Amino acid sequence: MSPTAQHEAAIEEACLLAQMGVGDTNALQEIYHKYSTPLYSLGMRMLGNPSEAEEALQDTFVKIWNHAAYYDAQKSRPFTWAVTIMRRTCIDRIRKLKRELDVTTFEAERDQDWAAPETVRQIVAQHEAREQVEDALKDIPSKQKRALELALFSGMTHSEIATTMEQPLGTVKSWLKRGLFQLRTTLTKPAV
Amino acid sequence: MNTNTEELASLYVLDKLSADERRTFEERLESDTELTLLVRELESALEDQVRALPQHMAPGHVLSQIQNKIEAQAPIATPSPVITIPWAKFAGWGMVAALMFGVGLTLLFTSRNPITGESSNQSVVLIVRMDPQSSVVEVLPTVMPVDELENFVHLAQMVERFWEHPEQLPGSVNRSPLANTLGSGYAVFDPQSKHGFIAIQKLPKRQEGKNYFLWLRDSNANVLYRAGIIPMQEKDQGLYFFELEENSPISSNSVAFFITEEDTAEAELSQPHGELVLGSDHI
Repeated sequence: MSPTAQHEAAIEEACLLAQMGVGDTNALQEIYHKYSTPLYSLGMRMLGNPSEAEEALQDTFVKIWNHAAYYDAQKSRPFTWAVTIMRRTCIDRIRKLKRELDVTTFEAERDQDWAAPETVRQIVAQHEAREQVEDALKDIPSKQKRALELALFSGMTHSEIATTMEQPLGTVKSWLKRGLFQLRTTLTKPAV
Repeated sequence: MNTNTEELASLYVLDKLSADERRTFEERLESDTELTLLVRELESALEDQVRALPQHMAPGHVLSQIQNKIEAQAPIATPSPVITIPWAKFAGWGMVAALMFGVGLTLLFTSRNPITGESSNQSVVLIVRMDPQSSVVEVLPTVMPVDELENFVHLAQMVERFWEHPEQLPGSVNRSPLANTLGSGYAVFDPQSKHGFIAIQKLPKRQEGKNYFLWLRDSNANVLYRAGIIPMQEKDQGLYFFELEENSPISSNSVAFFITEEDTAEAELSQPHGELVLGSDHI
């Protein structure tokens, strides 16, 4: 999605959250339509289990509903806010279940089937997004990429990531920053 | 921007800061535009990561289960104010769009009967406290954006800050304005753009067939404006936006706000007839 499209989508989603904040269930349905697939996919990535991911998704949307009126656009974009809620919910479930995570890499999942998207436009958009991210990830050194994946999808704190990777905390923080900045630079680069 | 700040921004986006660190960082975000832009870009990168995961559609029954859970839970206490406005910071037209949908902050009717007079005051915002029998005004020097939407968003941010931190209200207005058991409130009004917000609390329940009307009196020119009808509905508090018509000059900083209770049938009322509920028609 282009930065302009992302910005416009974010504004629309902020309005939907405001509507949810005053009890508009139609807005809930719209937000669900926009967010459920990526959030469920995130749940699948973090929890590795459809029923766990489904439970997490339900809990997340109930939280989004209950906190929509408090959403603050100054602090985060709407989808990032929803992702944070989903990730925290997944992390709670991980900790509750005391599950050992098998943190796979993006590459391992590259050949997995995608669920059938609803429209051709979505298919194209998803493939474009995936290719862009894969291209961006190619430019990131493997340790930075690994640290970023652990930070995003494992539920580990940065201290735990440092322990897992047997690196000083400061190094891990630096890797996370550089990894995210590298993605940001690559993904916001104009298409040639 | 130094490396430490960039690192903090990354950890913030990755949700790896402690609660205290997060709070401190969010305070910086409120005043640091460059930092906010960086965070938005990093968030965009994170979102792309999530959207690039192998996509799985949630089972079809999940939405109805979510709706059932929401219906089953005890009613959630409505946050204060009735409608929060933080997303006004996000984009002016997003705010306006939401107003049009009638979902956000309530947009009151515009006033009637424009008058001629001196040019508007420049670069001040009027903070007017309303008590059951009085109205007090404070003039707050500030630089307001000329652009209408930017002006609107700037004012909204100011109002939000006052709502969240009433102790920051200036001077005589700062007297726990929303703690009065008899009803209280304040208006934040930019005489230049004629945009304003009114925050009210603990108004008595409206009688059936009655409406609360918000009035503004320019004391210097002795001109009265109807700023709108306040749709209090079931709640006794709220935060509302209003604007006067473009050609309604405000001649001075002596502006009083007051609320009267009027018959519903008087939708086009141009003068108050009903009982004074809050504020005063003179400063």
